[in-house]
Amino acid sequence: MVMEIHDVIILGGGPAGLTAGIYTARHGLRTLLIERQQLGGRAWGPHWIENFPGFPEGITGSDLMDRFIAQTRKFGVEFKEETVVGLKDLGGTKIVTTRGGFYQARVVVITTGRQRQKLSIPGEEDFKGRGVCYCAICDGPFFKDQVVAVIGSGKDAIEDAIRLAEIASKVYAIPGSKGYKEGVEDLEKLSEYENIEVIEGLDIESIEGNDLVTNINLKGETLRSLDVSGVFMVLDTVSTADLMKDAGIETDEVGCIKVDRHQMTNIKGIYAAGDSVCSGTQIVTAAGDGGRAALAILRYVRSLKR
Amino acid sequence: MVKIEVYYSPICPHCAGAKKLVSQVASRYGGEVEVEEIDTFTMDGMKRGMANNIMAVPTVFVDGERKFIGFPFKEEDLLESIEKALGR
Repeated sequence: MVMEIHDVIILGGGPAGLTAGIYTARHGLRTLLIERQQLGGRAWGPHWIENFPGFPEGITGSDLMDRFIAQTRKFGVEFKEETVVGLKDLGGTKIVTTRGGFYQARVVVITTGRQRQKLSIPGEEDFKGRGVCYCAICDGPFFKDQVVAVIGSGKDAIEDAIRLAEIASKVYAIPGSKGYKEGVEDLEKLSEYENIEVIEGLDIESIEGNDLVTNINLKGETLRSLDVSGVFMVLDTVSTADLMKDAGIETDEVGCIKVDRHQMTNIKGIYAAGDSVCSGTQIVTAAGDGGRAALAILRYVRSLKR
Repeated sequence: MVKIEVYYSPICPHCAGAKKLVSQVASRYGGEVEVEEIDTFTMDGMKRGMANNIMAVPTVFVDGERKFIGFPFKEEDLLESIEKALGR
């Protein structure tokens, strides 16, 4: 069997991956983009984006990402809807393994982004969709005038607590025993809402209920039980963390891939961009990362072909 | 005939994928599978969702049985649910 060699394989089809593809394909590099779900990634959706340059009236995430996708297709990027399960560095080439097969490339760009993390605490799986939620924008309206808890210590957790405070009668914001992440944006806004109560120093231990969630149990130096109807789990982790570990790609203590100023990881020929490197969770920064990686890749691939 | 109900919200970023997958799979069955999409952002949709204890979208029922909450879920699992409902 002869395995075709792509110049570039991009893992993940969010703003970073699509931008990298636009650049590499436009410059004639044979580019394959593998995405397991929705092209556009977490940026795709009906939410309104007001701060992406060039759209002074604003644009929805779906419309903006559809434009990214159309531009990527225009330059001939090949797409595969598959789940990546392995990445191996063979020096001059890299092997990407998916559930559907193997692909080989000179360069791999990791833009798999971040995903909601499960805590796997008692009750979490049992009450999924029965009070346990992972998307406040999707499920918040079901908790009108009810009491909810938001579990998480990052920017998204703060945003979701504020979003839910407009709907629910009360919101418990629970960052966990380590508190909110240092320097997290908009933390001060929580105190502007009378119906938000921040509970620090305690970790969620279990979720209980009958058919639906009725309460959560917290544990730290003390124990506390809170009566809630909804529990929003807002804990992010870098996607495909196991893949990085197996491939020998260095990450920091929270799983963000370490890159140099050209977006290259510790492995020559493997680059990373966007939320995978925790560069700001903004479409514009992800796209910038993707473009910067692509420019470095153009130089790198040319050097290999000489 | 199998009926699939997809509870969704137009502002949910995961719902479009669920609707698309259900629609694509159902189309393979011709008239054997009927799909109803219920917008929980409408008053009627929300009432219907609450009556069925829907507290998250997307939620997919196959022949009245709650099968999938959230997205993604596997195409083969959806196919299996439909095949089972069709008695095959």
